[in-house]
Amino acid sequence: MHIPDGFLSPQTYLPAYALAAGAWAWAARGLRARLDEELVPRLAAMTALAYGLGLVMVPVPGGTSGHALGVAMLALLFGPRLAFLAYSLVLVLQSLLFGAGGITALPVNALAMGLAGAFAAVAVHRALRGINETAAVALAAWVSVVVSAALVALVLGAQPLVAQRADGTPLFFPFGFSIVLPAVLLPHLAIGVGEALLTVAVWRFARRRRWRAAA
Amino acid sequence: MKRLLPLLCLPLAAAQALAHEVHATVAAAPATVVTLTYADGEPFSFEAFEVHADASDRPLLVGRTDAQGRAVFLAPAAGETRLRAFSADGHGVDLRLPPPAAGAAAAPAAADDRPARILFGLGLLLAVFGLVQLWQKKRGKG
Repeated sequence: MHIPDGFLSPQTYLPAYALAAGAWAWAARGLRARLDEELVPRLAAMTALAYGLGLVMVPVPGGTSGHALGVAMLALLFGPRLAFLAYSLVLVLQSLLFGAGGITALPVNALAMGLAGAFAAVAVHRALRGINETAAVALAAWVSVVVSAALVALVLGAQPLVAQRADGTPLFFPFGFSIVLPAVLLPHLAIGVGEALLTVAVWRFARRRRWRAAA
Repeated sequence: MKRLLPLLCLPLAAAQALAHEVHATVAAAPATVVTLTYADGEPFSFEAFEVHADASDRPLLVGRTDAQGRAVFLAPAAGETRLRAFSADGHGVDLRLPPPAAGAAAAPAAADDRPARILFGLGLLLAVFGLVQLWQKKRGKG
């Protein structure tokens, strides 16, 4: 669901950069206090896992392909602020090395997946962990993917309304909400299930080793 | 004679009808072929693409990739050509291709160096966290 370069209008990505800059500054605030010698290697390992997951393409019915994000596991293990920073780093690498997501689209990708996805995961987990821990983790991961996909689809679907040529044809991404929302969301309902299974496995691994849960 | 007058006008009407004919001329010309695939090699097939001359917003051509993910078009003789391809689920590319005289169309990053790029990215990522760890240790000593 990484948005490439050339798909978003400047009217979209410039305000998004301003918003993301504020969010990155907020996430980095107090970073010193939150990091310790045990947490940094764990965060590095999980960020590397998220980086790897983003490169493993899984065929999705309909002829396209998708991949897991790993945002939920970062958010549940380290909290949404560290998850947002770590996932933004993953997005930069994926963009520069693989063209998976653009530099102009970076703030939208980071806000949709790294921030909204992380907060969605933490919110769902907090709401449900009292009922059943495993189900809470799984649902948190699934919701995280679906919320991220919905935001990406909304931003893409808005492009024909935001920037047009003189004759009314879209200047950037050409498909409207009615096409983009189902095209992006439906595959991610399935991808979210894979993300949920993966997040539960990583969560159990971390719990067995008594990693501190930030959420 | 008056009754024959409409019949005599028929050839004029036929001349008007010619304006609705579409004529075809077939000629061979060297085309630019850009093959688009997903990272796993799956063709980016039957997806929308636009070809633009240089910095123009108005496309020279709009079309769809074929079953093998190929966008085929005649590039302008001079200046860069911009190829944009979109799928409804947000995949696609925005490529700038050199003029045909400059040689074959530039390919995006080659797929065969992907493992090297994966390792390079992993190295960069771990280097960043290594620096964070050093910074954190230095802070602890300070």
